[in-house]
Formats: sequence, structure tokens, C-alpha cells
Amino acid sequence: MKIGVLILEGPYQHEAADTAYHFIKAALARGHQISGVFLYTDGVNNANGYIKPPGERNIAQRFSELAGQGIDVIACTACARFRGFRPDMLAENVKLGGLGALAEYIREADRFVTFGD
Amino acid sequence: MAQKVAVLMRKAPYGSVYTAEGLRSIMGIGVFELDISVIFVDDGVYALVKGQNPAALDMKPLGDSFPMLSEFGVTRFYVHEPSLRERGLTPADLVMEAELLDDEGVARALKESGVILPF
Amino acid sequence: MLYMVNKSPLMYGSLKSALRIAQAGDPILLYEDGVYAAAQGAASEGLIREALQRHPVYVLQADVEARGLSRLVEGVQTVDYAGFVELVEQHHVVPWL
Repeated sequence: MKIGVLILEGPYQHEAADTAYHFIKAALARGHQISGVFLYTDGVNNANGYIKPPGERNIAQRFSELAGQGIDVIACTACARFRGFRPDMLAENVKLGGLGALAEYIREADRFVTFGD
Repeated sequence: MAQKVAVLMRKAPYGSVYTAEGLRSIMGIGVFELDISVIFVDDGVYALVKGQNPAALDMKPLGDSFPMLSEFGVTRFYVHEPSLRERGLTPADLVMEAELLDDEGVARALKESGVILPF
Repeated sequence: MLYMVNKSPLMYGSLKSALRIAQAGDPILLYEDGVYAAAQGAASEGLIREALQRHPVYVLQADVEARGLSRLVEGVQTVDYAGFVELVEQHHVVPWL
């Protein structure tokens, strides 16, 4: 199956990005494809490549690694602007993009799951 | 056939960003051949109340934007009638006409869509 | 449809609201703070017992363990993330955020 994912909360503040990550890993392990991960609203902060949590899980790195495996991970361009998130702050392999990407992930997916507050 | 999407609005406007972003996402994805319906349940019905004026907050008013979504091809609006009633509201208090649904009606509208975007 | 609830029922109305809309047979997944609803002896126990009459109710194991919930209401089933994915394979998803 193809599964699309939308994340509406940022890292550490809320469990949403953690749940999304563990869900995606489990979906991949069960042989599913991810049509894409769209980071929306505060969710864009999960793509901040400068995140360096001392002695803790690195949430940005998780999504960077997923993107490195060829999964589309896109952070909303407008949301990034609203949050002073510059393109050069993006974690490796993660890209900025518009809501057209979200529409595409929805269209391609057999299932679509949103994680948020 | 266009993929059906239901935007499920359960949160109240202004106190958090979700109503505004739900609205923006509808405009953003509405142009990409998706068949979108909007369902207002629980505090989500407050998004449609007449007379919203967030000028003192220096925010943009949200309510009047929903009727304008028809420009993006979005014409199916559903309101959970019990949520309205529990908030002391009637359809006359809303900025637009919407189809009133009971519990089962909301369940059916969600089921028809398959993809649910919650805001 | 798989109804997903992630809030404690003693702080928020989302479980009650989801149960009002969900149709008989629709599975309910409690995850994140939603798992507190399945705690035995909590004030929400009646709500869960009622839910179990109409729905399969699942809790996400990692969230249960993280919160130290050792006693769950009888009849509530535990799933790991793979089980969560399996539920998503079988049903479209309604995140009741």
C-alpha cells in the first residue's frame, strides 16, 4: 500500500512527530511505500538541520534519514517563512515545497494519516 | 475520478492556528483536482459564526472566507447539528448555509471521503 | 473507519466526541495521552466499557508502557506500531485531533 503522512506539530513539544516516525518505520517494515511526508504549520521545525539535542533522540535527523532513503519529505514553504525558517537550515535531503506536494501525496495514497495535537 | 478529501474542523478559531491553516490548506490543495468537503464538528462550528472581528488581535477574520471557498471548487459544507445546538447556536447564526448532519450523518460523510484532514 | 484519539479523557472531550460519531464496529485506537482512557479504575472506565460494547478498542503499547499504565480495562487490546499499521491497512483513518 501507499501511505501518505501529514505532521502538524514541531519536535519535542508534542509527541506527534515521534508517533509519526515510529508509524512510518513500522509501515516500511511491513513493506508499504510512503507517498510522502508533508510537514505543515509548526511541523516544519522537524526539518531543522541545526537541531542538536544533547543526549536525546534527534528528531530532525530521523526525518533526514527517511528522506535519504528516497522518501519524499517536504516542509511547507509558507509555514517556514512564518517561522523564520530559512532554506539553508533544512536538514539533509528534506526539501521545501508548497501545498501541491500535499495534494500529490493525498492523490497517490491508499491511506492518509495525520499526526498532530 | 478525483480523490475525495474531508477537511474535519473540530477546533475553534483564533485561540490556535488550526482553523486558519485548515482554510489555507483547502485553498492550497483545492486547485489540484481533489474533491473536498468541509465538516464542522465540536468547537469547529465556531469558525462559521457571524460577526467575527479579530481586528484588535491584528488577525485576519476567518468566518467569511469559508463561503468564498466555492471559488476553489469546494461546495460541500456540513455542520454537525448537535455541536451547534450544544453551543446555543442555530443555523441563522452562521455566515453560510451548510447541510446539517446528525452523528450518523457525520460518520457517513467521513466514510465517503476516505482521506480525512483534521484541523 | 479507524478513529484515533490522542487526548486524556479527563482533560478533553475528544474521546466522548469520537465515540458519539463512530459507528458500531469502527475500531478506536487510543495513542499518546489517549491511552489514559484505558486505565483501570479511572473515572473514564465506564466510557471505555460502553465503547467496548460497540467497538474494538486498541491502545498503542509504546504509549502505555511509557506512561506506566499496568492495569488496563478488560477487553482493551494492545497493539505495537506494526499492529497500528495493520489497522491502517484495514481501515481508512479518522484522526480525531
